[in-house]
Amino acid sequence: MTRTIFTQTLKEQRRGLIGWSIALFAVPMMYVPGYSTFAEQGVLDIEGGGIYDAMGLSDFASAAGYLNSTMYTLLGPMLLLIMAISFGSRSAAQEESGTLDLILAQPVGRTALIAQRFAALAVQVLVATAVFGVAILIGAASGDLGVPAGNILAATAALGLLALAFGALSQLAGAATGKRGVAIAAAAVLAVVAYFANNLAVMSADTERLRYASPFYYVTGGSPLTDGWQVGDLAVLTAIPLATTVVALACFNRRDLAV
Amino acid sequence: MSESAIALTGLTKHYGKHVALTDLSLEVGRGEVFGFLGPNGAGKSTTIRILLDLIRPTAGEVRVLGADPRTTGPELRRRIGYLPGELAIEGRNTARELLRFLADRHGAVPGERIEELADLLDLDLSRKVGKMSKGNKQKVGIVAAFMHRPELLVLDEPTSGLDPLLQQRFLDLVKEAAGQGQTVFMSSHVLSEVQEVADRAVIMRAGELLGTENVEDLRRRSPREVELVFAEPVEAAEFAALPNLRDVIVEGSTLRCTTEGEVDALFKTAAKHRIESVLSTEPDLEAIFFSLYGR
Repeated sequence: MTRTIFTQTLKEQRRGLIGWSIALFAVPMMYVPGYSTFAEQGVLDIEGGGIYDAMGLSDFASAAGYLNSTMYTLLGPMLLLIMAISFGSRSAAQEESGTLDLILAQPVGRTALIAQRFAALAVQVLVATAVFGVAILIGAASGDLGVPAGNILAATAALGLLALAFGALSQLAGAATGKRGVAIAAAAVLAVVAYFANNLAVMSADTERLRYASPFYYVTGGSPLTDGWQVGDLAVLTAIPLATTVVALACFNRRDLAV
Repeated sequence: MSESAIALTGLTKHYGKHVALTDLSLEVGRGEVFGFLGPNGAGKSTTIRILLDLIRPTAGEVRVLGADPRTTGPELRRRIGYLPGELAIEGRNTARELLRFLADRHGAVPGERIEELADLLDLDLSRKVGKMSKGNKQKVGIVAAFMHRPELLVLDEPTSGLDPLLQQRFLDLVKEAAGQGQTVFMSSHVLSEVQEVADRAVIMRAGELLGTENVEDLRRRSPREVELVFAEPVEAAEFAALPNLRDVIVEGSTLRCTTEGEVDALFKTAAKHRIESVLSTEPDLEAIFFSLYGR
């Protein structure tokens, strides 16, 4: 088989992907199956304070709400986003080390590099998200959560696309600056801002509409765990990484490669 | 124009306020081995990275193998072999994996070719590139540049990090490439590594081209420090007026001087005495610049 930037990227980051996949399997296994037990023991009867609302952890009363709060609002996005943002900075890291000089002096176009790196990122996010989804399905079944499998898949798909979007943002910041630190920091700051924009905006009628600007809204805003597939939200979440990558291509094609 | 391997006209590169290259024009013929000389920071790497479209010129025209690197991109680079000046390769890949990956970019590089070059350079292909010494990384870079027998080899400080034996093997590779009609454009800050293989050379300094030289002439004309030790004390006056000689210093029986060009007169005069030893050092580029261009 011919080695390409795409296959080489997957190969070079396979250990990282395996590590993240293990974490993404383990975390749902710790939290999901025990829901009924936690609920019976009263562990989840927390006082509804502002801090929980701000974190998006407002509903522990139902199984779907518990799943939504813990896995799809907090821990799932956190793990998947950190992974995607760090993997998305790959080209910037290679530019900083000087390795990209050698690669781009070969018959490889800059468009091809960014496109193949994005394709590799999409595969990595797909694998990690699939592992996470499977773990939730197993956890929900063994813990008798009663949330339909189709709804879990719908929420998981949205979460994966969210991670891909922030990975693509990391790639964009790297393509524009050639600095790994900037790539990671820019995407991470945006993620934190978007996260709180989504959760805080809902607390006041004046700011309510602000949440539509946050990609996080399109993951949980349509309540896929209770209402199933949200095609419009998924379309928005698909458009963000694609558009981001187009901008990254334009930035990267235009500038000098750093020494 | 289509005759030349590289043709640069009025090439200029600014990084913000910093001027890296000023109005550089030069032409390298097909099949030529061309030296690109200058001290560090002269703009050699900047020029080379423009040839590969890694960076873009502020002004000027670039033709490489008759094409514009900016618009032809990958197709043009298929015909070029490049060795970066500050070669950085990382990762858990072995040298074999990395080279096969790079070979796949070019298509049709026989596996034996990689093994053959690695043997020649004493490179262990099963080692991981990330853990290699600078010298071994440099060997990987050399194999990557030569393996697909490109029409044009662009080599930035190719022998840095190599020991003398391997420098010689590398020069043999360059000669072999030249013998097969490949064009070689190689930069260096030392004359000696270029003089054995190059026909012509240009000298750069602070982003400007100082002149195009025939390498043989350059070598002959370049100043050299010579030290002669005689069996008995000699008089400085005997040597001071000889042609092609300056900075004559005599300390007892030791004569130190700088020669430029033919040394016949020096040695015929010296031969009147009993000579115990002679030491002549390789001129360095800075000294050559100073002597040739007086600045």
